[in-house]
Amino acid sequence: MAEESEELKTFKDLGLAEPLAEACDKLGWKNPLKIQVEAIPAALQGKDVIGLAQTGSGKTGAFALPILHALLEAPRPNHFFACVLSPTRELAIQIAEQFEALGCEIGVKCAVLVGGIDMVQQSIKIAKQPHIIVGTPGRVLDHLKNTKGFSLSRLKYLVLDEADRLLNEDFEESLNDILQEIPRERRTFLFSATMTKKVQKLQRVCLRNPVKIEAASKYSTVDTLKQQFRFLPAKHKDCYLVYILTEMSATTSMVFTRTCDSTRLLALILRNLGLKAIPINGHMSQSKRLGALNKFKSGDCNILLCTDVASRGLDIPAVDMVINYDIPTNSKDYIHRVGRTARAGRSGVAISLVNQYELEWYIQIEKLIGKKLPEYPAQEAEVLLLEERVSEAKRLAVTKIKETGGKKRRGEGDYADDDVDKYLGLKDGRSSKKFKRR
Amino acid sequence: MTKSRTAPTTSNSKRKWKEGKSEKKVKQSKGGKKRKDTDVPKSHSMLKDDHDDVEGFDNETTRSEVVESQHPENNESGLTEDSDTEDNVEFSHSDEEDIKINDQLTSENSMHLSSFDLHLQHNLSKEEIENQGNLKFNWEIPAIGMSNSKWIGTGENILEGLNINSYDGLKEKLSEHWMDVYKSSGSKDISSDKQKLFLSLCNSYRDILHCSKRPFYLKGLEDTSIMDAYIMHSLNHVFRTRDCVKKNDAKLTKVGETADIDRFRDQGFTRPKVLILLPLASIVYRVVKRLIQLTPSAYKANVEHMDRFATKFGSEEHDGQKENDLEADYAKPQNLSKPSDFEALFSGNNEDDFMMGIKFTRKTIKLFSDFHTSDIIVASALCLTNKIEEAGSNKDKDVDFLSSIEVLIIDHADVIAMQNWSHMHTVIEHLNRLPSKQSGTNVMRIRPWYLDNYARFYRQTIILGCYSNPDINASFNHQCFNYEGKVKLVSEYKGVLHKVLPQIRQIYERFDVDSIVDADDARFEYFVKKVFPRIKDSDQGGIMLFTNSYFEFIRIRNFLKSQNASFCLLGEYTTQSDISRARLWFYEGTRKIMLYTERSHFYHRYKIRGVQNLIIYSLPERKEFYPEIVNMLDGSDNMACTVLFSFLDKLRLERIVGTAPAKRMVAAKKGVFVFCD
Repeated sequence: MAEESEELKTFKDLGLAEPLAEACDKLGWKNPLKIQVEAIPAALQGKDVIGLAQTGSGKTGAFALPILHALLEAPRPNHFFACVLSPTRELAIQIAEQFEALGCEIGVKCAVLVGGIDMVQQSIKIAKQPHIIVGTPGRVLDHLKNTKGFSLSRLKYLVLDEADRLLNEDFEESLNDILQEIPRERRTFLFSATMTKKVQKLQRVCLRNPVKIEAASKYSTVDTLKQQFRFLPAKHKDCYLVYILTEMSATTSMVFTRTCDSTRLLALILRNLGLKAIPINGHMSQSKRLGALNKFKSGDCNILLCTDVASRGLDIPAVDMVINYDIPTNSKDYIHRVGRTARAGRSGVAISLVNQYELEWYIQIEKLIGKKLPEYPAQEAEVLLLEERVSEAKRLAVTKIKETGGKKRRGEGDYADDDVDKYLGLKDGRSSKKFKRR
Repeated sequence: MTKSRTAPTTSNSKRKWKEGKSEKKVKQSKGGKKRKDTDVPKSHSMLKDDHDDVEGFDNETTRSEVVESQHPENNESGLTEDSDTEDNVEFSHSDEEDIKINDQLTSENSMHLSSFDLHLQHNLSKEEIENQGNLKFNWEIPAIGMSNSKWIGTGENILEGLNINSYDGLKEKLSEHWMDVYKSSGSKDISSDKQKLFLSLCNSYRDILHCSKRPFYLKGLEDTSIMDAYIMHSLNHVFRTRDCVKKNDAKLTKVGETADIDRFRDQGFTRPKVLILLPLASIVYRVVKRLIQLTPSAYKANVEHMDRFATKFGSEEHDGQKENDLEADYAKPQNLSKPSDFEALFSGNNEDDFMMGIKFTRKTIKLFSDFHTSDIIVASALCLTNKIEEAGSNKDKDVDFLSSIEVLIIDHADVIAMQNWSHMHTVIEHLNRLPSKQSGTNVMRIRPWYLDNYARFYRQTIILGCYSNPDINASFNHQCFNYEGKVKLVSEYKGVLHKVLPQIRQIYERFDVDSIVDADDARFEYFVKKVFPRIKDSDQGGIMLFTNSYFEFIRIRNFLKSQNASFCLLGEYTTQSDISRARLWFYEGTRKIMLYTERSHFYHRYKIRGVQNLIIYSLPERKEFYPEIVNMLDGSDNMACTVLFSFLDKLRLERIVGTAPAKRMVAAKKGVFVFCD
């Protein structure tokens, strides 16, 4: 492919300023990744860019570097130079860290405006006149309304990261309000893993003659990812999960579930069985979420149980395995989930546990990625040997949750028996997938 | 180009203001160094905006600003009230003053950059903060108008060669009005050298500990000069802040959004800049009345809520003349038995839980304004502590109005110490913290050192009292971090022994202490082993045990209980009926020992009768109390009193026996001293 020749390019060849190329070098980025090779020159020419790229492909670098380059060349004063909007708090913090790492040589100042963190501290950050604002739409808008002196009227660059998710019902309104506050005369970069109708609409509203870059074919997953599924009865799901995790005990794994409560329950079950598991979900406070993430990153815990809150953008290096405990109803979420592993050229495994009720969605996923997946090989008898221990662990976990008061939702008590209930209640249960954002 | 030309002159002016003392001073040369840095391309941060031409910019646009400021509508900062539509006469008058100053400014190459600007525009470096801990009091100068006293200070000697007759820092309008007030009151000396010196000290923005202030309630001339000085200083600070903000508002509307906002950082998180802490409502009444008096008439066309102020803080004597007449016959004779200073201090409104905001708008003084939008807050430490506690437990409340205090004045620290200094400690700890809520201030106008959480290094603390004690000293030494340094008054005392009746033998016994931690135990042990046996078995009654603190009082009470001694209590929490009974018992001899504390003497000034033998377990902080207590022995048989002390009591000791004898007594080999004159 064409990649071969581009591989040899350096960051400097892309037209980036010396200090930035050096910063990349320091971060260990030898050669630009594909999307960077394509996006950076276009961005440096002052064009709007739409990037369709899978996760882990270096999107952040693709927009951060041109912005920093422009920042270097801009006449002073240049505070509130660029604003990056991202759908999740974790992702926003990660982007800001990336900006700071790339820009430390040139003294770039970043402010992260996300929910769950003290407004006053953030307004002090704003008062220090940062060059880059990274945030979630809700909080950025909150500051635009309530922090006197903060305006984006001189903004030069706007970045919409994970645009498809920025456009769901949670953010759409805030995003529109923010767009009202931003000058028309600006450069806009729009990045999205998937291209939806809404994103196309946004593109028409926000961008002018954009350069469209597709770093990967639509909805594909990377080749280094080994994908498998296992068809199983609902009542044996826990058993299989434990079996797989114990089989691959030396690896770091992420387990995706549909609800916040089940992350908690599963984490307790796994802990009772002596596995180092930690949950992360939207019911946790921001500091707890960050704490859990750090524990996972540092290796204190090697199993992260999460909802779709963690399915996007989070750059957790070296995740070896992704297990879909619940099959996502939205097949695009599948792409995001498995995108947590096999990042940046590494290999990884993704295993989906499919029960009788989830078959339909699973078939849709296969359709989307355009291939039939092999079945995960396991002897059912061998797996069921674990049953007794697992159900004991589950009983303990349920008692514990009941003791601590549980959550508002009843039902996880009779988890296995209630499986049907749970999935039948799915239509209104959808709301549990959304997280409180303020 | 203009910028680069004017910039060095401002650094010059800084030098001149410091009387051109020396070029080698770090602070002064810093300005120059910085500027050099900006010429060289910055290696460290290429994106950093250089702020160094800020001062230059000021000079450049002073003229244009005058035109702009005539639009009173420009109140972006919210610091001016637009509700009162004003005749522009008064306002343009103040502009004329500005023009005058500006002309001077430009013609003399900004000789008069005030100490206010110098203090607040200073760019604090990391080293200066680190050096905070090891500042030494390295210079001294005799205090004018006060015998046996000298000012000592850290950092540069600001007083040396300072021309105290020039009111350099004061706004012209303020000092003019001040002079008028003095003239009209018919006072002979317009203002004494002592006062001028103190004002200059205030103006230097150093922390000040002045603990030899003669309080108004002690006999002799009412001494308001220090009070006037700090009021003038507060007013000056408030009005300069306002001028600065107004000026920048005007400039900002002129240059518009495109400007580099960094030049206009002139505010704190919240508006209150001056906090005055006082012990009693009656003192608030004095201070605030004087403050209103000293405000130039142009700024006080109207004083809002004056009536409420009089009812809340004034005493009945001032307002309800009728009431007073009715009570006159009834109240007066009873009070005659109390000393005159007690009368003067406590005859007014004794409320000690109060807080009031004072806000200056263009022509109006608003009393009782909302704390968050006041300029000056006058409060008691007790009230603030309550507010702080409330804010701690209730998320809806906050004490953000303490976040941006730039001048803290604690007057009558000695009386506050008698109330409870620990409240003061709490309050000072909570000053200059980052606010907990969004204040509505334009964040782009907040001074950078507020954002860096360095505000406490810019706060000036002025502590005034008639004596100091370890608590006050500790607050001054460990809770004040002003980068400008500290100045304190050190006095030599003559002592008060001459006020004691000549026949009384005062035996001072020193006990040995290794460290301050053991001091209480050592004192107690000495008492138990050496003193108590002497009184335990004697049949003679009328033994009064005087303690300085409540803790000692409790300790001895418990000890006496355990010994089944015959004693009665007269402490600060004893009820009125118990006190009467105790005094009677003691006088009649039914109870042999009476326990008495300094604080109960402070609040009641009892004349205890029937004292035969006085044991001063610990010396009183207030030196006036010593002769009062000792003279209670008058008429007793042996006319003797015993005083326990250690070298740690030196501060109290020197106020009572005098500085030179105290030194000898602390250092001498033998431990017993007898005064009998």
